[in-house]
Amino acid sequence: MIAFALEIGVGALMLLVFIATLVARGDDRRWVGWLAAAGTLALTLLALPLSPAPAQLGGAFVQDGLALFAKRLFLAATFIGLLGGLSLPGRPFLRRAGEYHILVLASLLGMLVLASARDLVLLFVAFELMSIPLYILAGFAKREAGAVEAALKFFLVGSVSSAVMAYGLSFVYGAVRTTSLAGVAKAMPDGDGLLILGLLAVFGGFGFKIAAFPFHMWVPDTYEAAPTPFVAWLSVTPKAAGFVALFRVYFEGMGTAVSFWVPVAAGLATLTIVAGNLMALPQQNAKRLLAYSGIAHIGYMLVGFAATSASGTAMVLFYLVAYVFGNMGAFLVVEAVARSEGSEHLAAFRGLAQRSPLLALAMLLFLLSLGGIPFVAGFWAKLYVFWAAATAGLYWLVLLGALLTVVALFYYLIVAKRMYIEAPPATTRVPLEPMLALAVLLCALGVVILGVYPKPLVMAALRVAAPLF
Amino acid sequence: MMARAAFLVIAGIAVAAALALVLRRNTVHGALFLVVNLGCVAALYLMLGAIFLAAAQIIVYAGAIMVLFVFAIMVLIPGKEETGPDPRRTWRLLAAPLGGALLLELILLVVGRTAAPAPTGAAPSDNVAAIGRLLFTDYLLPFELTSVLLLAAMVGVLLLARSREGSAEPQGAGPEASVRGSAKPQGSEPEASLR
Repeated sequence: MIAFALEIGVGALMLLVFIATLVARGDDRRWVGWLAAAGTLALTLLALPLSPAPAQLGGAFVQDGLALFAKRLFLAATFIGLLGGLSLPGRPFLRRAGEYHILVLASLLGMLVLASARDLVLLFVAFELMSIPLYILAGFAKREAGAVEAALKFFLVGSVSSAVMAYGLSFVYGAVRTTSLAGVAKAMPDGDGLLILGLLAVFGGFGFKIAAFPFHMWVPDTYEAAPTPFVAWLSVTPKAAGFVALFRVYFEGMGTAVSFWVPVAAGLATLTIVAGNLMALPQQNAKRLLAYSGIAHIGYMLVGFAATSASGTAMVLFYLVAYVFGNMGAFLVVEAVARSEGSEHLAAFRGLAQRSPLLALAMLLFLLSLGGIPFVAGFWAKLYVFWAAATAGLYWLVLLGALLTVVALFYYLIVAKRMYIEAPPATTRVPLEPMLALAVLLCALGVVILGVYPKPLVMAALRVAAPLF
Repeated sequence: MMARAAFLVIAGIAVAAALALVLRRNTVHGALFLVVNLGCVAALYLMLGAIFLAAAQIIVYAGAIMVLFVFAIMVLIPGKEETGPDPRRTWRLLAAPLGGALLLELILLVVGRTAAPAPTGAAPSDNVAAIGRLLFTDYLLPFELTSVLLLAAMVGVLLLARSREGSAEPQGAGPEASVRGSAKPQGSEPEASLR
């Protein structure tokens, strides 16, 4: 049972929130959100001392180091995301706080199981459990302009990707006659064409979920129209879950056959980095800018994936942690500014440093981390990923990635310029809800601590990635 | 020999119905062709001895889901069948060779394969019992997860499908619980008459 402790915990918390929603009265039901956030915090703390447990259900569910690493990350990121969303204004968030949190927790449960799934059926069900609540949440503020369109785009693209994935999984099953991933890994060195075709289709399905280049169309529109604290969470945790599942399906137990995925991942990484960074350049809306830059970051993580080695995997895990803090933080600052100025346009950031120096400093830290400047987390993340790719001999990919990092720095620094150099439209402080401030503070701490002292996390990532190969 | 002939006939009808579904512009006709296709696939499942799957296919897909489809079509697009020139013609033309290449690849792979290994698992005769046993042993976790998924989907549907709320609802009064909401009549007038 101890192996399922976190899943049972999240499931129970979800049911608790469900019941609380049933008995809640009145127009302001945000207290239900406090329950969800407190429960998530408790589960995050519970997850820290957990140690790996033996495989369950005939090897379909494993609680190994990788799973635990991922689960701690998902829980912590969800806690920060919930904190940021606690004080959301607007009628749907007051009255429908219960539904919002039920859906977030259901999606979180899917992610937790996904990190442990070693069976194709469990993998697919967990994937859908993660995705379907996200579609609903994207359309949560359905009276807002564009929300329905955003949710519908996300839903249609997501459903097609799930269908492609299921189709691919059917080929995989047809080729290996087992739903166990261990069996798939064992059959992989034979180079069965049907198996490879199936796994490529599955890769396409994953590509949609992590928003790699040709599958990224839903990202900017969905991010722009969906509620920002939700987007902060959406932009990081499902991506992290997608990468962990990628490691499980494509690396674990495959031995030397992993080299087959090098050209696939390297090609996808090239396209994603180039397209994400170039499309981010002309953006004037902060959320769209972060959406495209997020696509580029997925490309950098795919560089680490293309290394197809234990160190590459570990560095992607480190990158994911750095990205969680940096990207969530940036989105949460956008939320704070947008709530005060009523606009997500980059112009809303003018003179932020004079109005709210600490908020501007936090945003600067996040931007520097996303841009990859030394002594914030993102620098080490990029460096390590490039280093792992170079060790694997992918020099051209490293060169391309480093080149486009400069492009990325340009658009991040434009935001910084607006905050620090341009004159503010008003002199009042940007009001900041305490819980949103706490969420921003946690992200800033994460970015700084990982930037100054990344070693323990790197070591932990290397430890959990080693058994995959 | 007999089985082979039956397979070819059923599979031919299934493919033809699927093609008709894609090619017909009239959505209601398309939905009806889908029923034919789903029925043929159910027959193929029967030929494989997958009794449970065939029954589920008929009851769930050809029955329940198709009724929903037809209703949705009739409610959402009354009399507005897709006509006129295709605005995304060039993209579709681009899709044709790519899809064709994939199809060719699939055919080559399937033809090139040696005979498939004999299916493992339970004998077809106690199919349903075997599935039931598996669902509550090896596949218990995915089975339970789908129930969570259904719960989340239900909450989501109620959330998204609620009609306008707001001034119609009295402030904080009544045993109105949000997840139960959509079962109630919506809008101000029925609301007022209920109280």
